[in-house]
Amino acid sequence: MNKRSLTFSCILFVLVSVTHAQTYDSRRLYFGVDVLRTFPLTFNRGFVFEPSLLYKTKDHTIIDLAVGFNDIRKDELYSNVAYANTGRYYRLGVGKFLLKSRKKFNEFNLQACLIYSDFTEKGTITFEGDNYGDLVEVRTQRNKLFIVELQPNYWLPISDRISVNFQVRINYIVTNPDEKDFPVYYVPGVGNVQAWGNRDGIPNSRRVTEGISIRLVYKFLEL
Amino acid sequence: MKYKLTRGLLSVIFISCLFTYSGCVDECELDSEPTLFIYFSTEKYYRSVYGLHGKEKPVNQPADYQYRVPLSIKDDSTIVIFESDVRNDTLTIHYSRTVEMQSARCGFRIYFDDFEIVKPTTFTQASVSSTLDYSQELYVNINE
Repeated sequence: MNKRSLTFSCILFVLVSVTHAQTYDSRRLYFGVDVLRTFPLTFNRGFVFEPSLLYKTKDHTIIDLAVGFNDIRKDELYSNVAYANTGRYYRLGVGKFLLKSRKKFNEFNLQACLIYSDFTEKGTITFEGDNYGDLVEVRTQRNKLFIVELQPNYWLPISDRISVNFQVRINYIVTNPDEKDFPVYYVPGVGNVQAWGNRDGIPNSRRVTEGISIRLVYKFLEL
Repeated sequence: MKYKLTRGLLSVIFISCLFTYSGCVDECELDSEPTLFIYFSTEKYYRSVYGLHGKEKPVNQPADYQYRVPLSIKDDSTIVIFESDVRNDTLTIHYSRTVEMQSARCGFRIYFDDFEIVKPTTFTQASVSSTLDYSQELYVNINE
């Protein structure tokens, strides 16, 4: 073997080794928790808890299964309404790696999800009566909605087992919500759906919403 | 010239704010309990006129034979008691209440309708002479 051939072989060997070391072709199981949804951006107190289980196949397909629980309060909505929302939701998503080859910091994915949200909204309306006493009315409406979601996301590995998953979520509420007493304000699994409409000052609830989220994921099994 | 321009601009801004603010106040800032105005066709003096089960028992000095009492938002009727040294009278007004959303800015509102004079009422010539609108004032005439 001459010198040129040996040099070329060495270079080829290094390239193959490096490429193989940075290609993640194993099946993996992750546990994730959304950390941004619990942040009370649109409500005064309460919680949103969304754990998830993710499975990555050898060809970099992601199967994402999440379940969410929420119980949130907003003290003043529409001037004289105390608002409460309790419910749960389920999300099933399938995602695909976008780029040609996987490297450590280039994990961009596109995921499509189906969400089922079952929740109850309660509005407590108080009218102050200085002379005879207050009038308190309670209005309750329950909704079971199907939502489709498009979710571009990025995985940032911060250690061998832990990554931060940054998500952009674009949702479309497929089912017509029941809004007999007031417009739907918050859909668990989607977020705030209120919009300022022009129906005599009564806001419409949006069918298309967008938002961001951040999830911490932990790799607990590699196959 | 510059001073006049500045003064003119400030006047325009002030007047605009005045009109804008007055528009917002008229629609949403309503007293929760509407006011019932009671007119007598003949002179009638009562020592005290007040709503039954209400907190206030004012001594009303009639102006043009008119008394003023708040309407209850908690119940479907308001019983008005008229007390004098020689007699006591009663006027009961019944109505329907509907709570509906008015707007995102104002929230929910109580809509009153179907006003009628019912028993127990000691007056025989009492009638409701208006409906309740944004002014939150209701008028009753008593021709006795």
